[in-house]
Amino acid sequence: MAEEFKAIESQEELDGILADNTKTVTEKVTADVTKQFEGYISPTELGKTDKGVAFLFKASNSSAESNVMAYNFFVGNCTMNDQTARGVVFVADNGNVTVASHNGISTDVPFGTTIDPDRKAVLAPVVNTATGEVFTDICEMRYSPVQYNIMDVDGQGIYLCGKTVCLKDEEV
Amino acid sequence: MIEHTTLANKFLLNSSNHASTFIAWLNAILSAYNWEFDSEIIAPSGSTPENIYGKYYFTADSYIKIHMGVDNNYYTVIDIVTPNVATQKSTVHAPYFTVSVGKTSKGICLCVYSGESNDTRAPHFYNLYVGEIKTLDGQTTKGCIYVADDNSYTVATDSGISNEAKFASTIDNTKKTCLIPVTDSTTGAVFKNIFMLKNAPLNYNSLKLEDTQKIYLCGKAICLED
Repeated sequence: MAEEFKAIESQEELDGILADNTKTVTEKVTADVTKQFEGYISPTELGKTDKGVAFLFKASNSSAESNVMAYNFFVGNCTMNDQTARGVVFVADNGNVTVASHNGISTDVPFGTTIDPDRKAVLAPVVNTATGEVFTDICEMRYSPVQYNIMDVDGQGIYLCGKTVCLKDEEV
Repeated sequence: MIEHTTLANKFLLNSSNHASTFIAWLNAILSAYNWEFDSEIIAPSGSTPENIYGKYYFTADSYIKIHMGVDNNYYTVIDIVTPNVATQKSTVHAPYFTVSVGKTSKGICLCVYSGESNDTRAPHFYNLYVGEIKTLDGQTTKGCIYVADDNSYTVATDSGISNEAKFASTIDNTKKTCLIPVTDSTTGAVFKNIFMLKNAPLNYNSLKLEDTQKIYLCGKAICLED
């Protein structure tokens, strides 16, 4: 038997039906994905400073260890020719750094990171090597006394550190 | 003011009769830069290459000593000496010598190397750099860098010697130049005019950056500003 037809007579009525449908579909997709990857999705960790955000989003084998501060995405400002725009830095498991910014995308091999508490922090800004855009507050850690932590560099600021890349907080 | 002089390119130095050639190289290095007082070439009369050396003071108390080892063949030995600690670097024990001097208004770089006859090392593959370094307390002094083939390097200053991890250098003419100052990660001192070539369109050559109009003399993975 055909479903009874019900006329929609107002915009508010239409908006309500669309919202209900959207909610139903969203809940179904979320439930399906959660079930499909149950036990394999890492906790999504979000770090934030006043200069940008860093987050971890990855799927891996449930037995694989991953530090909750091993952020693989960083979002912040980058500049070129006095123009500032948002950009994204993605750090792969092998350390390769992919940068997506206003003018293009670049991928580079890791510069080389040494974590040693006896060394001074040596930080180099992340650069989109295809376009020349330079991140103002996201740096690769060539040397750092810590990782997966918060680091206060005398006179330079405070940094939220992932594995090899860090995000600056406020100026001192 | 960028200058490069190749003094030897795979020169086979295998005889005590080559002492005068070695002395000539050491003298060329001595006269190429404003080394500190007490820098000298020691070459006793009638001496063979292993008894000859050059001492080049980059500060009043720290110096580079260039001399030769003997192990069937002559080969390069470089001592870097600071007031409290010293280190010695030597190349493979083979007698084909490549020696060159690069110079800019900001410092000097040297290639002092000996290898096998089939070694294709460029004379622009500098393994020693000397330039100004700024310490964390704001003082400026001079420092020396020895660069190994794998891009690890050693920084020597009057404060001591710091061995630094290797770094990745990508030479790709489709990439923008990305230069990172060479640092002494033990003391936090930063070279003012010597940079790691993180990314560069070329190496072993002079590099001019359009944005800043600055010119750099590039070795394999480290460059010296002019």
